[in-house]
This record gives sequence, structure tokens and C-alpha cells, in this order.
Amino acid sequence: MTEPTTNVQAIEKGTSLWDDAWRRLKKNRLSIVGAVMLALVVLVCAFGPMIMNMSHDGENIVEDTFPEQANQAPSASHLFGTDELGRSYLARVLEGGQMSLLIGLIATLASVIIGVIYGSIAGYYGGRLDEVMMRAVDFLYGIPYMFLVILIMLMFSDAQRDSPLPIFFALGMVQWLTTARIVRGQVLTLRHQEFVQAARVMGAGDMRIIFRHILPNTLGVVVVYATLTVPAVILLESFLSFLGLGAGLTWGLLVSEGLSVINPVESYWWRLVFPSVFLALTLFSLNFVGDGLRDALDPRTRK
Amino acid sequence: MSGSTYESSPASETTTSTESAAILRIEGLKVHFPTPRGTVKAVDGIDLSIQKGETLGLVGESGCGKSTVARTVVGLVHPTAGRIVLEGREIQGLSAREMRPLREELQMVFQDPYASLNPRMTVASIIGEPFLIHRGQRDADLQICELMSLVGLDPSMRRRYPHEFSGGQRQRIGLARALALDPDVILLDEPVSALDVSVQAQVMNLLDDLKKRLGLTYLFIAHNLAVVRHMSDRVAVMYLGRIVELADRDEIYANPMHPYTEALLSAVPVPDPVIEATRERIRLEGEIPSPTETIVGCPFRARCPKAFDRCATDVPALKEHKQAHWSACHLPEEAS
Ligand SMILES: Nc1ncnc2c1ncn2[C@@H]1O[C@H](COP(=O)(O)OP(=O)(O)O)[C@@H](O)[C@H]1O
Ligand SMILES: [Mg+2]
Repeated sequence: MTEPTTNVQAIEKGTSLWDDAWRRLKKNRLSIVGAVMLALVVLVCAFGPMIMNMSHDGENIVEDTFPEQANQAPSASHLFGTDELGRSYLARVLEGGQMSLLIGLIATLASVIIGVIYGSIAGYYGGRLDEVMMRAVDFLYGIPYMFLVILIMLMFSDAQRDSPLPIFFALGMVQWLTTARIVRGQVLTLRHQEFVQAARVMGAGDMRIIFRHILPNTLGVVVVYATLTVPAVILLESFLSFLGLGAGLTWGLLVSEGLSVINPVESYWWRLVFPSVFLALTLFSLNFVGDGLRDALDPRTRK
Repeated sequence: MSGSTYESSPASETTTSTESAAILRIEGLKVHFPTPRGTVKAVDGIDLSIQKGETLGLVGESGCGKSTVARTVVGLVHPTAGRIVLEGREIQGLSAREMRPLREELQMVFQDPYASLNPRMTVASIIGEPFLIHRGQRDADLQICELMSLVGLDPSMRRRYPHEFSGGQRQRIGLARALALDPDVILLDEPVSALDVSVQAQVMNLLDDLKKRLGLTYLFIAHNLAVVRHMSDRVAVMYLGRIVELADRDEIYANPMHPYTEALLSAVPVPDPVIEATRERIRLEGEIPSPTETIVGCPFRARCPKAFDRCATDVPALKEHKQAHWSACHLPEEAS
């Protein structure tokens, strides 16, 4: 036991559970590799097309066509080759990556925000309200999500579908269900924890209890789930691209085009391989990072 | 407490000029939980009163409803029936808003030193939260340091997180939080049950010391009689949601009246190893009735070594068989 001290020495800084988790995450090789790979992909996609345009001053390397250079195999001047309109395939893969990553991020964000709010209301207030709210989630869960996404996408006009907003909305709408379930379950158990009751005995109101005591304790699980939702969303968008319902130039679109131009006479292999490799790399990295985060944040692995 | 003159129940005693009025009074308290498997009668009609400056020990096996009593008094659970009177005001069934000012008079320390502190908050924000809620005070650093010193914690550790402390230290943090608003009454729900024996004594001494220094009143809950003996003025023994015996501390340890109290006492280890090895223990046989069951006769009958025919039919009421010694048992009447 510590004796009461009269002279207050230097304040010892504590290590929060986040600090702990970070320390454990750093020890997980696979997730560090994943994080580095992911960072590289993000950086290259974010700045690559810009730099390439600058070195071809005046030309938009992604959009402008150069028919005389159509369907070239990878070479020193075109690292990833060109497509049938002579556009640099490297630039298109990177630009497609921008949109794929953006969709992953925004749809996940939307699903997390909706899911957390919905789930915490249901879990915190419980009772009849919880029952009705979760019944609704169960119902939506029962519908195949692909069907749901297509249904939502078809609610928008063709013109609207040229912008990526409908796809953000459609993917967010199917992904929040699981977040809501997870958060609701967490809140339901946390609500009965002694520290929440202690806060209540302290006179804390509902808002303080939810935002200060309950939600911070669900954050770990939410972060892990969100990290795993990003690749799921990117993949889902790729499927939609195959159906012609995608969000424009994405990896999904490039892969489906790459598949469609494969023919027995001439194989434009680079059209399929490069976007697929980028897509796979991103999905693997995100899954590694998500798994690492889960292990790092799981209280059962705590000493 | 001396010279108490009890009337019909220990709670509704007459207040004479020689004794102080009860600071906390519980009358006919019932807490029933409807569950899918039937109604759990966690608390089934208890009367208790605690005088200012007193420590009342509340003892009983786990599941007998002790925590429910405390949780009902602080308003975490609404009672099914009965009254709770704190410093002359009825507080049962108040809303959270109505309860808020009373938080400065009535506080609680929880049993589990691990679960009762938010793992994501620093000690400073845990202990400082009451100041924030009640006084809108964001920077209560001075008070936080004082409180930490008061409970024997090093204030320089206030930026640390609960998981960096031992069980005993955590319980001190919980105590500092309960003391923050300078309450008059603190309900201690098994404050040392989760701690190592050596740490238990330290925390008990701290509780005793704080009580004297700050003029506190305690309801001290424990699941064995050894723990409450040290600091209780009176002891109430609870069985299946009811009080079965209530007396001054020395009286109940010297002359237990209820067979259940005798059994609990026989489970208390004696410090002398020779006596400890030879002394007789009362083993309680039989099943504890489930709290959803409707019980005919004495609730303790099934496990009572001294049960006789009357116990199967009559529910024994809590009666004052001796001066200030209450018991819910037919035996004393049978003997006389
Ligand atoms: N919210 C609740 N819903 C249903 N049953 C409960 C609830 N709280 C407590 N109980 C039941 O009430 C009884 C008494 O519990 P408790 O007061 O925690 O006992 P103790 O603190 O003496 O161990 C137990 O049978 C317990 O299962
Ligand atoms: Mg208890």
C-alpha cells in the first residue's frame, strides 16, 4: 500500500488501454506489414496521378486518349501498359484506387455512425424500444445484402448514379446493421457494469453515462469492426461494378473490364493483373491490420 | 447505541431526547424482480434504521439481497413497497433528477474494485467526476490530490489508469470518489470481500479512521460475520430477503439467538489454532429455497438444525426477545 505523501513529486503519467494496445500492436509483425503496405497503397494512389499529370504538362493522363498508343504491354515508358484508348494504365489503376479507398472509408464511416447511434440507443434504453429496433435490424438482415444494395441503387436515376453518393449510401445502409448489433450488445453489458452504476450514484445523467462511460468502452470493438468493414465494402463495390452498378472508375471496374478483354487471340494480361493485385493487396493489408487490432484490444489477451 | 427503546419494529423506534434521530430509515422495504422464471423476492419486507455516526453491519450469504438493499437506497433500483427516509425526507422512487442533490449526502462503495472503475478514465477524472457533475468544476486538481492523500494514495499517480493499481488501491480510489462530495452516509457493499486478507485489514482500518475523522455513518455489508465484527456498532443478519436477527455487536456475537446466526458464527475462524482445530462447526444441510419460491412457514426451516413443527406453519416475525435484541425465530418463545 502506498503511504500518503505530503510532497507531490512529478506526476506519473499512466498508460491508457490505448497505449497498451498500441504496444501490443507494434509487436504484431503481420499487422505492421499490413499497415505499411496499406500506407504505401494509399500514398501512391493519392499522389501518383497528380505527379504523373505534372510530368505530362497539360495532359490528363487518366482521361485523355492517345489512340496511337492503344493496348501497349508494360514497358519502361508505360509501366503498367495502356488500355484500348491508349491511356496510361498505371494512372488509371491509381485513380481507380482513390475511388475504391474513398468508398471503403466513407461507407464505413457512415455505417459506423449510424450503427453506433442506433445500437447504443437500443442497448441503453432497452425494453420495448430495444425489441422493436432490433426486430427491424433482424428483418433487414434477412434480406440478402446484395439484393438490398441493388434495390437501393435502382432507386437512384442514371444521372445520380454517375456520382458516387448513391453507392456510399447503399453500402452504408447494409453495413450498419452489424455495427448496430455489436454496439447494442456491448452497451447492454456495459450498462450493468458497476462503474456505470457508480456514475449514476454520482448523479451522472444519461448523456454523460453514454458518452463518457459506455461508448469509450465500446470503441475498441467498433474500431476493429470498422477496419474489417473497409475491405468488405471495397469488395462489395467490385461486385457491383461487375453488374454495371459500380461507382465509376474503381478497381472493381478495372478488374471487370480486364476480364472482359481477355480473349484467346491476344491476352491483355496487365489489364487484369494490376488492378487485381492492388485490390488484393489492400484487402489483405486491411484484414491484417484489423486482426492485429482485435488481438491488441482484446482484454482477454491482456496480462 | 445504548438505551434504545424499541417499539413494534426496529425502524419505527420512538425518538426520545436522549437519542439522535435515525439518519437513514428503511421501513417495510420490498424489492421484487419479475423474471421469466417467476418473481424474485430479493428483498421481502425489511426494517432497518441507522443512527448518525453509527456503523450498521448487514450480513448474509451471497444472494440474500444485501446489495439489492443498498442499490435500492441509492436509487439504482425502485422498491416494490416500503419507505426509505434519509435525514427526514422520503427518497424512495425519486427520479434521477430529484435524487441528484441527495448524492451529496448519500454515497456508495461497490464490491468489485475491478468493475467499479471505468477502465478508460484516469484516476483524476474518476475522482474528479463528482465535482464536475455537481459543481461544474473542471479543474478540481487540488481536491483530487487531497482526496487521494486522505485514502492513502499517492497523488502523483492521479494520471494513471485503474488497471495500473492493485485491488486494494482500486478500492481506495472508489472510496475517494464516494467521499468527494463529503457525504454523511456511505453504503459499503462488501468493500473488502474481493481483497486479499492482508489488504482487507488495511482497508478496514482506513474505513474506521475515515469514519472517525469525517463523522461518517456506514451501512457495512459483508457476507461473513468476521468482517463486520471489527467496526460495527450493531449487526443485522439477513436471510432470503429478510432480517432474521438484529442486535448490538457484542450481544449478537456472545448470544446469538437465531440458528442461522449461530451457523454463520461457527464459520468464523478463531485466531487460536488449538481452539480452531477442535471447535465445532455447524454445517447447514438442505437446499436454499430459490428466491422465486413461495415459502410456507419459516424460510430457514429447510436448513435449520433446530426446526420443530411450528416452524413448518408459522412465519416467525422479527421480535424483540431481549432488550435491543431482535430475532425472527420461534425458539425463544418455545423456551420460555
Ligand atoms: N435486476 C435483477 N433482476 C432479477 N433478479 C435480481 C436482480 N438483482 C438481483 N437479483 C436477484 O436477487 C437476489 C439478491 O441479489 P443481491 O442483492 O445481489 O444479493 P447479495 O448482494 O446478498 O449477494 C439474487 O437471487 C439475485 O439473483
Ligand atoms: Mg452483493
